Amino acid sequence: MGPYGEGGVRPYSEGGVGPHGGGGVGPWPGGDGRTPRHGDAFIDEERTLVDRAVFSDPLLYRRELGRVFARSWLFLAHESQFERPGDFFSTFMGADPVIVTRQRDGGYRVLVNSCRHRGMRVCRHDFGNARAFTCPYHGWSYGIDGSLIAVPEEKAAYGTPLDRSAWSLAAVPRVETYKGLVFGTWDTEIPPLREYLGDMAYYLDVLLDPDGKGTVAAPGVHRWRMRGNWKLAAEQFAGDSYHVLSTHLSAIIAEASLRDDGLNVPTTGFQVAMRGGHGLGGFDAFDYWHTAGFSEEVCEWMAGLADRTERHLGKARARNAVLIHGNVFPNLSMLPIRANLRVWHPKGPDALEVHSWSIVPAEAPPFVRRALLLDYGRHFGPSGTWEQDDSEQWHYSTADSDGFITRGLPLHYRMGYGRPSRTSYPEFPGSIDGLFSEANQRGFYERWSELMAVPHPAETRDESSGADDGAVPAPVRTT
Amino acid sequence: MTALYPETALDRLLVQHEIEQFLYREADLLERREYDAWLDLFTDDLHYYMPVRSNGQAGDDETLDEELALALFDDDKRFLLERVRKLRTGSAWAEEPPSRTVRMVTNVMVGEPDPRTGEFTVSSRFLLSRNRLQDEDEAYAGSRFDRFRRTDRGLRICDRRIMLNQAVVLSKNLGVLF
Repeated sequence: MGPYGEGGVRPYSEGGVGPHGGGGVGPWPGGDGRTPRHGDAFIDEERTLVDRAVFSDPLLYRRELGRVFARSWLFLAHESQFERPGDFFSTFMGADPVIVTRQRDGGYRVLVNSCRHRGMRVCRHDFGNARAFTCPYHGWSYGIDGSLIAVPEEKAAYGTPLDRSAWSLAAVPRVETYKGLVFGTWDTEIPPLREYLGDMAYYLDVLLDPDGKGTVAAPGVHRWRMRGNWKLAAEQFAGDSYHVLSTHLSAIIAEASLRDDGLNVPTTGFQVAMRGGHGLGGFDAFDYWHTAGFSEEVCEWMAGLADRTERHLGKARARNAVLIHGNVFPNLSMLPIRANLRVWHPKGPDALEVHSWSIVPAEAPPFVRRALLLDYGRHFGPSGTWEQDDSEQWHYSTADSDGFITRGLPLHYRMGYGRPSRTSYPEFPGSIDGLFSEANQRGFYERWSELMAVPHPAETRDESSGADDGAVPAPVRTT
Repeated sequence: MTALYPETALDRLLVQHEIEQFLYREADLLERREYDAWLDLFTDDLHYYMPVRSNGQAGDDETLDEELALALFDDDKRFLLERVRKLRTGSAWAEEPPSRTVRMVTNVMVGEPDPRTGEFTVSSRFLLSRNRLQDEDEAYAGSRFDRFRRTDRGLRICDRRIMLNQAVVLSKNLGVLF
């Protein structure tokens, strides 16, 4: 058994080779008591049809914030965004605003950006350096570790001094890093970050540690907001190669039209489903850098990097495949070959905010960094010729998820169901399927279901999300 | 000090008028999606750039090394042509059906020509209204700083810097041109 033990995500290879059926409409979701509110994204026994309520139900969204986001390791920032003590970066964990701050000992504290007196945001800058976070409302002031250090007119206002230790900024109890990435979690019982990443770390290393020298984030963060449920974005990055030829057709045609040699899009590849709901996909090996039209200079540098990667990470990761897309459950997505990491912050059931970075090898000379960040930004930034069209799909796939009839039309996640795991990549951990497969998306919703079946202890404060709404009392799993 | 150099004042007025008409015509071409004519307003060595804005402690963050920092647009003319070709495929879903846009250009200020190259910078403000499908309605406001060059084919823009007034881009994509 893997790190998720008995209660973990069921092994993907045991999906069962059952009758494939039509995958048709019926039964209506919920007819047999199996609904997302009972903690199950799937409506069928084979676990291949997803109830659209997961994209639209406001109650499920509120529960997700506790059951999924407060119980997972969440990506916060890249370490190269911090140099000195007091350097900070503002972001979100689920719907909660947090400040990631570099401490004097080089570690990180992650503070909830909400004054304990009236709840005002104590920091309204995106990033910077601070000696203290002073609330603009009444002037309570907090150290970079979150401790309450000054209360204006304390004696006149309160008589006796406040119990400072009781009124510090709330701090995230666990903060860990993996190869330059800072993560935090509210859950004191889930496994350490490295164990949580599980098999995904093997693939993450190609982006984060290709040559043992680490990476840096290009200055600046792309941030943009869109309509759509965050899970559609996350699941697509986890496992959807199938959308490319339709969604991105215009980008491919335009790019090919300007190339003398046309554009050869590879047609063979793989998907990897991993325990914990992580997913990743790519192409079988091909000469990516020349095919994508990079300059000879860049291609040469990349060939050298591949040699160093082979020595550092081994041949399989350096030579055998091109890693295209991936998702660390729940909401950290990546395009490894495009040097891109992005996080999907939920903003309600039908909206999300993307924060996106260009992550380049620390050893890369300026001309390589520039080539990588242009390649990412022009294709996958907010104006990206590829990225634009994804936002259209997520918007309107979500928009009509709560119609009376649409709500009863489950969505088809059966691609590759029952297909035996491929063995073309003996070194690759996880369960491997072909380029077109929805095994990763099914794994994503298995993990989601597993978490959503168990109420978060803090939910009892919200009457409307108590057991009467369908929560099944169950022991909290420590996965 | 009345009109010591009347011809200069008149020249300036004519240049001001010429530039304003150029910018109005450009906006009109984009609204009508006349992309070839639009591209023709730029020189081949164009740099078309829209930086990321942020809420930094020293006001807006203008200190990034732009060559190596993320930008919202960082295009040469070839890539703008790629964007235009994409829009014409009929399958550019973010703009298919296309947006209805209204582009207002104002506060046009013409700078002094560079004594060496003759190029001059024009700053202006824009308000771009983008309406699409049933209820998508976006407004983009900002500044543009265009460097103009007189070529043997006429007046052209060789450098465009667009400052969008949004730190978090508040629309699902920047699928329109600025």
